[in-house]
Amino acid sequence: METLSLLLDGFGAALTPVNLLLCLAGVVLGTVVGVLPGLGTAMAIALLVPVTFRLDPAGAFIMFAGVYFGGQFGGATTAILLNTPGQSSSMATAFEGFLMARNRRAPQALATAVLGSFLSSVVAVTLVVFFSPLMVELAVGFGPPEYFALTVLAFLATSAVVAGDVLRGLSGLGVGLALAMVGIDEQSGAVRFTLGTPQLLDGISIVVVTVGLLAIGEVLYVASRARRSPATETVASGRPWLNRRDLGRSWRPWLRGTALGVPFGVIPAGGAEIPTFLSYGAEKALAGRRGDDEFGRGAIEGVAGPEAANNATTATSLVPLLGLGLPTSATAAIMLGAFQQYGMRPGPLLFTQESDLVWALLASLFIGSVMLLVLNLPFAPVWAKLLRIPRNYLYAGIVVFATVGVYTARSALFDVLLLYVVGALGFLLRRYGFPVAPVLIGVILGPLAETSLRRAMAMSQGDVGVLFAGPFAVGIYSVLIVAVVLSAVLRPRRGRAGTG
Amino acid sequence: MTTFVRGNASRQRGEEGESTSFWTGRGELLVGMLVGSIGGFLLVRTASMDVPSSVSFLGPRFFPAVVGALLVVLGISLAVRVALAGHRTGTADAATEEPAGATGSGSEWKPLLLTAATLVAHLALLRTAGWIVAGALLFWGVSCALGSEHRLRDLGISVIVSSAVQLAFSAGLGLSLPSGLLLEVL
Repeated sequence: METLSLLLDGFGAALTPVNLLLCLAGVVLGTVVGVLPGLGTAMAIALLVPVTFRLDPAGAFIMFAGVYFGGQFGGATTAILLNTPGQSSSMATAFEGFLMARNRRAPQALATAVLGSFLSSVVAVTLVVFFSPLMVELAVGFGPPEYFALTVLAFLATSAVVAGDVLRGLSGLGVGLALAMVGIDEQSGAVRFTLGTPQLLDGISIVVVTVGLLAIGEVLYVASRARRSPATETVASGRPWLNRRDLGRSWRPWLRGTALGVPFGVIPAGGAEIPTFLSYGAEKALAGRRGDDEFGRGAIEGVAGPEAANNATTATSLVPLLGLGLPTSATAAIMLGAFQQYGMRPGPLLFTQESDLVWALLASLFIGSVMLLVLNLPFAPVWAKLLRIPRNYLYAGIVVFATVGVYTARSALFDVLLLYVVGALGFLLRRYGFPVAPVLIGVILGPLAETSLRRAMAMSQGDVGVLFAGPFAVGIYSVLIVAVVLSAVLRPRRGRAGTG
Repeated sequence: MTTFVRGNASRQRGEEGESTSFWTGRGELLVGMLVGSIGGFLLVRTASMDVPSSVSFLGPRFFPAVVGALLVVLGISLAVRVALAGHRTGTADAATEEPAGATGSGSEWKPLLLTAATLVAHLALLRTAGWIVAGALLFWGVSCALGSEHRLRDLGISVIVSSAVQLAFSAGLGLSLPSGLLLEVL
């Protein structure tokens, strides 16, 4: 019951005009980047961090959460109408969704996607509200050894387990860790890797790294393959609606998709992509068992399931993010970086020290879901028209926004130089198929990993055994070993599925 | 070793019939070298680091040494793998949070170099010419590099964009952007 009263207080804080406006701005922006292929929620939040630094932190995070959720709603629209998933987590939606649109069932596909997204968001956010405090209670007893184990879990999960290629994933992680070590070492005061440059004594700002990798790197990558992209024509679609029969076919896939998506948010499995494909596969198999052969010709179940799954994963990824400070996707990693910019550290302390912020944020997730339902259900075809914006203006605008955001954060030309250098690095990684998420996780969690390790060793006077002393640490390492073994066993099959 | 790589890569290139630049199939070697040299840099600078005497147990050198060694090993492994496999650029499943199927064929150099040149010019002009000029150049340069069809119209749009940003940031958010030497003299 205490949770409920805290949540009600949160609604009180989130329902102020300013916060409602920020939430609306967030969900609109999120829908926009969700609709546009090539722009992700991670990039959008990275670009917003320097600009929102003057805002009240609660307002800023309400806006970020709106972007995070909006991206999942928007991604479905273009997947269905144009076969162009705006986000990788909408790829599974495009399979049946675009076929439905070609069969003149676009309104039904859009409706089942938006309603499924809404339903699963609400269910998953409710779970977040009740499980985050439990996660916090668990985490209160965590000391440096446990935090070190958590960072190791996040490092290896994103770089070795999820990324398709272990060598590339680990290289990205190492580069991220290296970037995070530049500057004065907090514990000893030693100056590391600055090459005598005074501007580097404070280290390389997380904002510079995230914006450089995601925004500048992406624009350089787009420039490197700037063949004229074919003009996109939106499929005329009409107002989304569902009749009784479609609704009857949709609600079970919604629930199954939600159930599949929920656990994937809590484990560091790299975001919402895997559960959407699992949900698609499950719906297809169930349809086959029923003797229903509509899959491959536009089955509504194939849209309803994956869309519910990706929203559920997005929502529950907030549990480890807020409760432990453990990001499970690139976007969550940027949000964690944003907390650090405000001098806050997600985890048990956040719930006690910044209780108002946390509950306002959680309440705003419900409000944002309702806003997204209202914005997307009647207006989905309008959003799809965004694809007519000339891409050169879009990317030029991103470069300008990235540059100005990074410059104004510290009024330092040197930061802009660093931004472009990191952008060039991001381009190289992107060009040769290196995943960016491990770099981000390395930069953002690297300092925590190092300090936890050194504190643990100082506590134990140099005895390595302290790292494996607590039950939680042992548990985390066991989870890690299971994940590594499972991924090694499953990899050949996934590889074949990917090429086939 | 080198000849083997070249022969292998050019054969693969012939099969694919795509762009035939020197780096086709060997580009990842560059990344391997970069990763390895970052690791080498970490190791060298760690060895010559000034460490305060108060440090006990794991000092500021331990973590960089581990990461540096890891990067050297990874860089060598990447290079060896490229050398052994010949032509194998990005597999789609490696990248998270991006649409698959975007990797593969070679880069186009002209738009890329134009974009990079725009960034360099912006850096050079930001303090001297001020934001409105440098920002407009940034927008215009990137837009042209990405294949704009209306250069003159874009110039107008660029000036509007950079002025709007100046207005929003200085008047709206109270953050200062460089006004440039010209305006300061006036």
